[in-house]
Formats: sequence, structure tokens, C-alpha cells
Amino acid sequence: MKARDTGRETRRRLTGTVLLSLFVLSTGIAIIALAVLIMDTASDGAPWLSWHLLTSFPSRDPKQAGLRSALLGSIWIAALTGAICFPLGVGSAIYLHEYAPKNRLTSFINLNIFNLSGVPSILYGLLGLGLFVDLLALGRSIIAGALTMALLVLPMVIVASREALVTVPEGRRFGAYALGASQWQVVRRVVLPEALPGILTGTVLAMSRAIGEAAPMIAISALLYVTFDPTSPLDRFTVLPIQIFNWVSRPQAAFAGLAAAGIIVLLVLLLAMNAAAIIIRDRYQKRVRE
Amino acid sequence: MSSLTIETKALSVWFGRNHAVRNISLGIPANRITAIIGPSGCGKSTLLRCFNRMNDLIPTARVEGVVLLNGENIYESDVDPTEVRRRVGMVFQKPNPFPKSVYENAAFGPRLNGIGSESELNSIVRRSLEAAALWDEVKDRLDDSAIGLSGGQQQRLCIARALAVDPEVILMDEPCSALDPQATAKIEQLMTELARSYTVVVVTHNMQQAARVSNYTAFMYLGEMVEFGLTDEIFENPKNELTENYITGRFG
Amino acid sequence: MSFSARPLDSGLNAVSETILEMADLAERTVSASVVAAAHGGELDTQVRVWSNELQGKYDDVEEKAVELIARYQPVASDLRVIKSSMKVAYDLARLGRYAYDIVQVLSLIDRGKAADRAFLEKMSQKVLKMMRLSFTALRIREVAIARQLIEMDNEVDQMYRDYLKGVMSNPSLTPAEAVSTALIARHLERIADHAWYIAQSVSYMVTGTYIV
Repeated sequence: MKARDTGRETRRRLTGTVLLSLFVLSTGIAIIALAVLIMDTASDGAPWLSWHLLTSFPSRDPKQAGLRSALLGSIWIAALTGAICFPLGVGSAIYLHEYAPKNRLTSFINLNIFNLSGVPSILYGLLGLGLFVDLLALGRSIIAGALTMALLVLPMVIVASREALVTVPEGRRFGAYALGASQWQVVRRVVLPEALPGILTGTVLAMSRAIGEAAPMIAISALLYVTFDPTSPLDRFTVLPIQIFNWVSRPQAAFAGLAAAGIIVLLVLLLAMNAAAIIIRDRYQKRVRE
Repeated sequence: MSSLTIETKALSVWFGRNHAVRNISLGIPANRITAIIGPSGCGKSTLLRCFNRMNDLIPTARVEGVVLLNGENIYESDVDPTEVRRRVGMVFQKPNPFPKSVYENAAFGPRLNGIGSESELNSIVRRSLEAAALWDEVKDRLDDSAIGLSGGQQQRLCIARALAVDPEVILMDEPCSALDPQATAKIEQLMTELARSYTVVVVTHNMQQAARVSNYTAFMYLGEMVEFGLTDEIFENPKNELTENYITGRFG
Repeated sequence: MSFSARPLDSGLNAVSETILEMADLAERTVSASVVAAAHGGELDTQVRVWSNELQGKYDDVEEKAVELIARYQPVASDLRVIKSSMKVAYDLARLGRYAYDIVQVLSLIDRGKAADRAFLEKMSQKVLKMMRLSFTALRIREVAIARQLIEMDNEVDQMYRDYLKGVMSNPSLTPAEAVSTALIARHLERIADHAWYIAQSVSYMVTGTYIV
């Protein structure tokens, strides 16, 4: 038996090894590229990281410049976007999954919500400019920015919420109905509590996307030079990506280092939000699983 | 002859064009266990779901005919289905406790009905768990997750949950088919005790179980009620040849 | 719908086969004893062997029936067949036993001083006919045939009672003649009764009710 299989066996093993090497290589390239990028940025920006960076306003003098306004603006945007998206996204998902009749119209809507998340973000920026800034006369304010970002990430929230609702087994709903619960009681007391971790995770991820997008904010024309703390949603603002972009376009070499530092801050913020999403998901999954 | 808790008259159910339950007129005697047997796909679970209007939740289902619960037609247009489901409880084939604590599972129904006082809930939870022969096993673990219980315990918890709203009828859809023989035996014992205070209807594909547990047996085939009678009579001398062939295992 | 063979079926067939074997054997045994009662002859040992054989087969049927019940939890007609088979096997064994009792009585009296042969001939013919009819009903599981035994059983009972009355007031018979004939007549009457019980079991097997 052994003699005949040697040829085929050898070829199979060889193919396996070659493919494995290719996979490892491609993973390696991706990781290395990312690592190089991060290390490069880190080395450029590290000297500029300081408490001063986070608490000062931008300035023409690189030694005085800081991220204060951009950081606050990003946090405002993230928070407001989350606050707007959460009820709208969860509500839509609940309607679409629990209440809407299972007909072709509903399937059509479901399909296209997913497609919406592929629309280039600049389009949302233009939409926001026309609708929120001009038509609703909200001006180039935080609220206009948040509303625009909400539109952008809403499909993500709806899809994530719907996934979470789907993971609740049908049997539990039937069990609740059989006890005399109305549809809303079933949703509120059985489905939502179990789906909440997934929904929260989806919302936090949406918020983290909202911080990272530059194009729509540019369209809304967040100010490039902000030297005050935004105190209300109607104030003008700027966000981290724009501030970084601004610094990158300055000719002085020092600003390149500042830009790198800004990127580090942005990355740290993103990492923190993603970590929060994972923690939420894991904590609740453990509870449900036991 | 005991009175009838549930009575159907010319009851039919369609799923689209599929006539799943055909013109059934049947009486379920009070405080007895009635078993509904028949081969897979004969419509017995669909029939069971008519008794608590759970077929309403299936979009393609259409129900015609009358179902009387203690004399009142539950399919009358002004009847609230959630009210019917409070009076007619149901236990499913696969145990489906909520991913909450044992206590919260049992208290779910009463909370729906607006009972909020802790003392009242405590006593209802205790009573229901005792009636479901589960209290001794969980009394020190009321706050533990229900998902951590064994299959048999989970099913008894689902029974307790149904009992907590004080129904008149308990419907069971193949309650033991996912359980091992010991758990099954406990639940069969429980059914006999429950029949003292409630009317019990069990759908089962296990004929020995129907013979062991029930007072009355209904045999369904292809959506029709072929024979209904005392279990002793059906299993010793059925009147219908189809019944005879099914229960002796010649088909199905 | 297509019917599938069940594990229970082979057991049921085995029991039915044994019952039919017992019926054949019982027929031979009873006929032999009746012939001996009518014409004399050395059948003592043979009948005893056959009677023991019938008893053995009855034990087999009972054991098999209980095994089938424990294993397969039979219901409806299966259950009735098994229950009846136990009863019928018992009845058939009794037939063998009474046949043996008859030849026992014969062995006690002098072969020459026969019992009232004429009467016994008449009665035994009727009883044999009854027995054969009940076996036919058993073999083909036909209730209509079984019904015919009602009348015949009554006649046999009547014959027996009348004879008893007569024998007690007939001075021309010796004690040996009177006692032996009465005993044999009684055994024949019991054979007829068991034939009737077998017919009853046939009715229960098929319809679930006993003939009224």
C-alpha cells in the first residue's frame, strides 16, 4: 500500500506546504506593513506626546500647538452620534425583524440597508451640508456633524442590531407568547435583554467609525482652526482627522511630528472604543452562555 | 362522564393551501389527561396550538371553526389572544427557559400580569416550583441562571413557569422527547399529579407514553380525528382499523 | 400504506404455531381416549405421554407470551392474541388431562365389564364434533363458527344431567358400570366446556368481546 501512494501523497503534502507558506507570507506582509507604519508613526510622534499636546489649542507655533479642540470635538461627535444612532438603529432593527410582515418589501429594505454602508462617505457629507447645515439651518455645528455621521453609520447599527436580534432563538419568543405576553412585552422583556450586548457592541463600533471619518466632516466644513472649547451642540467644531490633515499639509517639519502624535492619539481612542465593545460583548456572552 | 374544558366544532387550519387540520370536532374532558397521537405530520401539534391561539403567530395560518374554552369561543373577534394564553398554558418540545435566573423565569408570567410585590411573587414562585416538583432541587439556587439546569430540570421549570399564571389548561407538545428516560419518568409522574388540578393535553409520538399516562386518547391521521376514546379501550380494542394498525406499529 | 414486519411478529407466529400443534395433539389425544372408552384397547401409556407433552407445550406458550409482553408492550389485537393464546393453551392442556383421566377410569374397571358403551359412544361423538369445530374456529379465527358451539354445549350439558339422573335411579347397572360411566361422562362434559372456552377466546381475539 505504501509504495503506490508515495507519488500522490508527496504531491499532496507539497501542495499543502506551498499554500501554507503563501498564507503565512501574505499574513506576514500585512502585519509587517502595519507594524512598520505604526512604528514609523510612533517614532515620529512620540517626542511630541505630552499632556500639553492634549490640553492646548492649535497654534502657528509647533511648540505651542495642541489637540484640545479637535479631541473635544471628536468626543462630542462620537457621543452625539451614538446617542442619535442607538434609538434610531435599534428601533429600525426591531421594527424590521419583529414587526414588519415578511414580504418582499421588507426583504428589499433589509438588503438595501446593508448596501447603504458601502456608499462613499463624501456623499453623506454633501447630504449633510445640504440638509442639516442649510435646509434645517443648523449651521456648521456639532449637531449637524453628528447628524451627518449618524446617517453614515446608521446602517452599521441597524445591521448589527438585527444580527443580535436574530441570535435570540425563536423558541424563547414562543415561550413568552405562550405565557400571555403581548408582542411589545416579548420584545422588551425577552428579546432586547438578550440582544442588548450585540446591539451595544454594534453601536460602539459605529461610534468608533464616526471618529475616524474625515471626508464628511470636511464637507460640513468643520473649522480648521478652532481655539475655543465647544460648549453646546450648536457650536462650531473640529475633529481629530481634520486637525491631523491640517498639520500634515503644513510645510514645517515639526508639524509632521505633531501630525504623527495626533495619529497616535486617534489610534489610542479607537483602540479604547473597540476594546470597550469587546469587553461588553464578552461579559454579556458569558452570562448568557452559563 | 366529566365535563369538557375544551370543545372544538368543525375546526380547520390551513397553511396557505395545505389543509393541515380537517374539520375536527373534539371534546377534552376536564381534569383528565388527554393524549393526542398520530404519525409525523398528521396535524397534532397544529391542533394543539389552536387551543391557545398560538397559530395566530404563524403568518400563513388560517383557522376556521369554533374552539370553546369552558363554553366561550376563543376565536370570537373580540377575544384577546394574550388573555387566552394566560388561561391555557403551553410547554414545548425543547425546553426554552429564558436566560435569566430560575426565580425570574418563574416570576415572568406574574410580572406580565402586573404583580410586582416581592412577597406575592415569592409565594407564587415557590408554589409553582413545588407544583412542578422542582422546588427541592432549586430552592438554594433561585438566583442561578436557568440555563445551567439539566434538561429535565429546565423542562420542569418551563412547567412551573406555565403554572405561575394559574391556567386552567396545560398543553404539552411532546414534552419528553428531548429528555432521558429518568427525566421523562419524573415528568410523566408530574403530569398525573397536575391532572388533579388542571386539564392536561399531551401531544406525543410515543405510544407507550400515551398508554402509561393518559385517561383519554385521540388518534389523528392526515389532519383528521380518526378515533377518540378511553385510553384503556383504544389500546385494548380500538374500533377503527387505522387506529389498530398505527398503535400496533404496522405503519407510521 | 405499506405494512412493515415487526420484531413482535416472529414471536406471535411462534406462539400461534405452538397453539396449532397443541390443537392437533389434543385432538389425537382426546380421540384416542374416546375410542378406548368405546371399544377398549391399550392406550393408557400413549395418552399419558401426549397429555404430558401438552402440559409442556402450555408452559412454553405461557413463557413465550410473558416474554413478548415484557419486551414489546403489545397493544390492541396483538395484546388480545397473546392473552387468548395463554388461555387457549391452558384449555388445550386440560383437554389432554381429561383424556388421560378417561383412560385412567377405564384402567380401573375390568375391560370386559364395560361401562354403558352406547351412551358414551353417543356423548363422545357430540363432544368430538364440538372439539373439532372449536379447533377449526381457532385455526381460521372465524367467530361465526365459534357461535355454533353455544347450542352444542347446551346439548352436552343436558345429556350429562339427564344421564346422571337416570343412573342414580337405574337398578340394572352395577356400581362399577354406573360409577365408571358417570365419571367418564363428567370428563367428556368438561372437555366440551373447554372446547367452548376456546371458542370464546377466538371471539375475544377477533372482536375484543366474548360471545354472550
